[in-house]
Amino acid sequence: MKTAPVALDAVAPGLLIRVENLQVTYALGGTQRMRAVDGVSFDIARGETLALVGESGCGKSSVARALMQLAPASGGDIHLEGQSLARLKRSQLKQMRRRFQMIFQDPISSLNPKRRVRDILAAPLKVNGLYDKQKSEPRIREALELVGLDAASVMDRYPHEFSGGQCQRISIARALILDPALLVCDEPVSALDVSVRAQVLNVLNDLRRRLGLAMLFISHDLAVVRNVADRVAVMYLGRIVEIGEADAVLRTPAHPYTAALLSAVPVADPDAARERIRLKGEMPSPMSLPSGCRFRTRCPAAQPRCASDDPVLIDAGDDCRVACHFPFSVTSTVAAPRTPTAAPAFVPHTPQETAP
Amino acid sequence: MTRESQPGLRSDRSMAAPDAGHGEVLLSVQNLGVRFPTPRGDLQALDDVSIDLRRSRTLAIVGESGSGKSVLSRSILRLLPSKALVSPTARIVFDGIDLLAQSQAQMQKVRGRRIAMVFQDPMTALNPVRTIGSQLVEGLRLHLNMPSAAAYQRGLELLQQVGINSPERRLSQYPHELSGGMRQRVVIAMAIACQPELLIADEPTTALDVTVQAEILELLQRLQREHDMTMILITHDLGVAAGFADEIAVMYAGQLVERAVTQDVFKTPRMPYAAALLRSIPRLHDAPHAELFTIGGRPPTTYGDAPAGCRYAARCERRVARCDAETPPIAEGPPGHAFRCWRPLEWQ
Repeated sequence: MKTAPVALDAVAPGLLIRVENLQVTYALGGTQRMRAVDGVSFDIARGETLALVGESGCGKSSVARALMQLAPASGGDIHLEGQSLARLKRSQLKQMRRRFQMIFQDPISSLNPKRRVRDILAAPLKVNGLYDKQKSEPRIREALELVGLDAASVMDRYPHEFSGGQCQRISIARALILDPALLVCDEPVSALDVSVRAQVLNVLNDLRRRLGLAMLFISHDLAVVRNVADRVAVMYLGRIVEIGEADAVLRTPAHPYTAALLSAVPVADPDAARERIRLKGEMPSPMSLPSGCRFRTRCPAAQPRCASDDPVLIDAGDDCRVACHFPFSVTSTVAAPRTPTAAPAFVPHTPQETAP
Repeated sequence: MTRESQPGLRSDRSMAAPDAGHGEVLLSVQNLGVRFPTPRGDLQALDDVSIDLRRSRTLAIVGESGSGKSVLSRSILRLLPSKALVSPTARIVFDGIDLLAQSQAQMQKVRGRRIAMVFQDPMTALNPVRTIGSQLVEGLRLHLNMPSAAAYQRGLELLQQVGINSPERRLSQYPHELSGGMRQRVVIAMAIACQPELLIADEPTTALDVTVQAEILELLQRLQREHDMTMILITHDLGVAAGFADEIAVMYAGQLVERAVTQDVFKTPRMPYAAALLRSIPRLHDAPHAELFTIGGRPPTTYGDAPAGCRYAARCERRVARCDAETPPIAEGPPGHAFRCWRPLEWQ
C-alpha cells in the first residue's frame, strides 16, 4: 500500500475505525441534491460496539452504506486501522473492503435461495480468490459453529429449510468467513420474533466476547441497543446529536431528542410510568432544513437562540458529547430503574464550548 | 339485538372474559378452527379458539409470527381467503349476530360500519391514485347514505379528531404526500368514520417509528375512550400490549394459551410459554451485554389433525409425560385467569 498509514494507535490505542466529517448526498434528478448524512464523525475501537440509533430518514443506514462503500461518500473520510479509504486505489479498496462485513435486516432475502449453506458461505471466499476446496471446508464449519449452528447438519441444506433466526445466523456466519475487523449490522433483529431475537443478540454478544469483533449496530430499538452497545450515537436529520457511553446516553440523555426517543419506548410492564416527552409536528424534509438547530421545530425546550445558531457537538460530561444549546444537565436527570420513561426536568446549564 | 350471555358454552372450553360482570359480551368466538388446504395437507392455522370480549374493553392478542393472531382477526371480519376451511362447530357471535352464518352481502353491512379494521401498513391500506378526501367520504356515503356535502364536512371533522392539522388541504392530497404516521391517522379516521362498536387494529404501529408509534397508540386510546369503542389490538410487541390493553390473550401455534387481565399476564404468567416470552425481551434497564433468555426450537407447524399433547411441550422447561400424551384444555386457574397447561407456574 502506497498511502502512508496515519499512526492512529499512537493517538488513540485500539482505534479501529475513524469516520471523519462523512457526507452522503443523493442526486434527486435535476439540480436537486439531498444531503442524507451531513458531517458525521465517530470512532470505533477494536472489540467495541457502537450503536447508531434514530428514526427513519435520519441517515443511519446511509452511514452504514457509505462505510461499506455501497453508497459513495460525497465528503469526509474513513480511516481503517490508520489507512484512509478515500486515498486508496480501486484494487486496494477491494482488499480493504473485505475487512468490513455487513448483515442485513431481512435474513431470508439476503441469502440466495438456490444455494446450499455450504455454497453461501464459500461465496465470499471465491469472490476474493481465497477459496481452496481442502482448506475452506473446515473454515466454513468453524464459522457455522461460531454462530451456534450444527455445521454437519446444516451445510447441505437450503435457506428455505431454516427459520428466520437460523437464516440470520447463517448470514452472520457468512460475514465472519473473511475474518472481518468490523461487522456492520443494519437492523439485524428487527424482522425477527421475540424469542428468536434473543438468540441472535446472544450470538452477537458472544462473538464480541470471543473474537473481539467490533460492530456498528444500527437499530431503532433502544432496548436492543442497550443489550449490545458499548457506545451509542443518536442521529437526527443527517447529524449526530448525541454520542457517548451507552449507559450515560440511555440513562441520562442530554439531548432533548434522545430523551424523547427513550420516553417513547414501549415498556413491557403494565406498571411502568408512562410519561412521554411530546415532540411537536413531524420531522422536516431534509430538502428544507430549519435554520439553526435542526431539531428546534420539534423541540419542547427550544429557545430563540436555537433558530439562529447551529449547535455543534460539545462535551456534556460523562464522556458524552451533545449538539444542543440547552442540554439536560446530567445531574438533573435521575432515572430510577422503575421509571425509565420519566421525563427529565428541563434544567438548562451553560455548556462549555469546546472546539468541534 | 343483544344477548346477556352465550347459551351452550361449556365452561372448560371458553375463556370467560376476565372481570366477568362488567358490561355485556359484544363478541364471542367459540371453537374456531381454521385450516388452509396445501399440497402437504391442510395447514392448521387456528385450533379450538374460544374467546369472549366485553363491551368497552381493549383486548391485546399477542403472539409470534404464525401463531394465528391475524387469522383470528380476519376470521372475525370474514376476510379469510376463499379456500380457507372453517371448523363446522365454530361460531363467531357479534352482538347477537352469528357472523359465520352471514352472506357476504350481509357482512358488507357489518364490516366497516359496526366492526372496523386498521391494518399494519397504511400505504397499502390506502389507494395511491385517489385523494384522501374521496377515500374518507366513501364509507360515509356507502354506509350512512350521507349527501356529499355533509360527508365532506364529516371528513374534515374526522381528520381533526385524529389530530391532522389543516384538514382542508389534506383532503385534496394523495397518500404519497403524507408521512407514514399521517397516513396511519387517515386510516384510523376512515375506520372510525361510521362509529364502529368494535375496532380491530392489526399491528397498527409496526411499520412506524417509535415516537410516531407512541402518538398513534395514544390516539387510539383517546378515540376508544371518546367513542366508547371495544378494541382488539393485535401485536407481537409485549411492550405495546402492556401499555395499551385491559386484557391479554397469548397465542401459540394456532391456539389460545393464556388469557387474563394485563396485570396478571405480565406479573403472574401461568403458562410457561408466556413466561418465557416475557423473559426473552431485552429491556432498557438490563445490564449491557446481558445474556438473554432464549426458547430453544421453534413452534410446530401442523398439517391435518394435530397429534395429542401440548404444542409447546417440545420447547418447555416444565414438560412431564402427560404433556406429550394429552392435549391440555384451556381452563381457569384463579378466576379470570385461563391457561392451557398441565403444569402451570405457581404463584402465591
